[in-house]
Amino acid sequence: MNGNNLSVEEKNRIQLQIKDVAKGREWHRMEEIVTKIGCREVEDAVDLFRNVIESVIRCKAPLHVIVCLYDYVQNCMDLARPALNENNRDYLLAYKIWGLQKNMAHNNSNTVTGSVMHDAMAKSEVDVINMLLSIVSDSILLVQDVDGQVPLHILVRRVFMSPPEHHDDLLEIIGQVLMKKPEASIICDRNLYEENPLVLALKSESYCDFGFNAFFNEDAAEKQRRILESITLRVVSLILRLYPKAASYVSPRGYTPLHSSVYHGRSPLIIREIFSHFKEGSLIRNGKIQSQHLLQVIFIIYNLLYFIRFG
Amino acid sequence: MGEVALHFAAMRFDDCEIFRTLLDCPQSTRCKDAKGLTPLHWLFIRYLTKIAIPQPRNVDHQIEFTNIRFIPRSYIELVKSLEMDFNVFTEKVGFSGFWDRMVMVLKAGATDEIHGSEDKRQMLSNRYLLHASCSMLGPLCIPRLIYDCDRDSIQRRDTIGRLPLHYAW
Repeated sequence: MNGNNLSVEEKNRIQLQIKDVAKGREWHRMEEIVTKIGCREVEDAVDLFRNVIESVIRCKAPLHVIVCLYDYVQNCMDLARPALNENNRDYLLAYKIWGLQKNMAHNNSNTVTGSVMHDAMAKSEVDVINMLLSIVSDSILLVQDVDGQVPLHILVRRVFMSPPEHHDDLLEIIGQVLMKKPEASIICDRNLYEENPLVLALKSESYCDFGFNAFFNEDAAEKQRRILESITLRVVSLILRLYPKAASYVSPRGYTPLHSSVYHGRSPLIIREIFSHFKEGSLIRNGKIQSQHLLQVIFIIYNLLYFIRFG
Repeated sequence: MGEVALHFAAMRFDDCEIFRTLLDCPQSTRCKDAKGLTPLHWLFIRYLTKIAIPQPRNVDHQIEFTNIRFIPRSYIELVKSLEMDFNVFTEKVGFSGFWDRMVMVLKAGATDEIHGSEDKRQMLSNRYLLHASCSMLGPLCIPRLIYDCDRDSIQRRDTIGRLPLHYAW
């Protein structure tokens, strides 16, 4: 059945059916009805789904119904999010949404391939993020997207790509995230350099953009540099205050935050902040990976010699 | 690879304030990287690089980390010419900056190598610069440079009566 072909009577009938199902909490039937309609793009159908979702929200549906609707109602995401209510504090189901979005990404390149929280951290208003933080399970803050990034990675990146007037609000959210899951600050992504959110903040000069058009204007560049140092210090201090162990985290490549801060030319204040938390970090050498490479090379040479000797 | 944070500070020829912070842990002055170079080596290399290759004005040093391990081919020639005449280099712009950082590293390294009670460390840490440079791993040019700046230092005895030659030995 296509939403476009529905007559007014049929629409009303389906809506009543949905309301009955919602009232009776017979969620398996809801899924059947939605699957039966099965239309995404027609405006009438979207309106219809809007009603469905509103009914679901009012009746506090389990999260899996929302997950079922997600596939059909891409245009009603703003309504679907509040549906993650008190009854749905379930990490696995939130993870299911991530899976659904990942599948959707194959068809729609604009979709973020992460959880609802990743999506919210990247684009949503501060109020929406606050609302999500208050209703969704804390475990979602440790879910990694396809690049291995946790929501905190995306939030830290957003701080350095937003105008200065938004910084206070975003820092407040970073604080909330760290209060709930402080260990999120040391989860490394799966990119080449395997960076955690703290290191991402320390290398912010390579991607920051406060909207000053600093590339062509020396004054703007100077202003950007000043703001960059100040906001980096605030982010680093916040992370280290709420999770001091982050200063002593050694990445798989053997780099500590102290290495990263000096390497990327951070200000003396930032370096001192990190140094004060982990003095011994100044004696840790980077490049553990080198020894692994060395072992591989030795292994290859050994095999080669064996092959030459015994054929 | 195999670098400690002080190596990076030396490679970048960073602010003195950063050196002061990192030298709170003086053991790092003796760490060698995979090439066998200490922070003092890198400080010297970067100073010579700055002389040899004029820096363009508009380089953003904040993001100039891609060349951080760069050693110019002319480095060996520069060291050779340095052996011929130190005045050529001491008169160049930026020498005082190099000197300040080098003194900080040498003093921190000299304090670190003294074992024993705190009193003994305090007493022996007041060593002269040439003594410190002779006892530390670093480019051989540095003791020569110090000697060239202060010729009398070679005959000076430190608090326990030792000459720089004692430490070089």
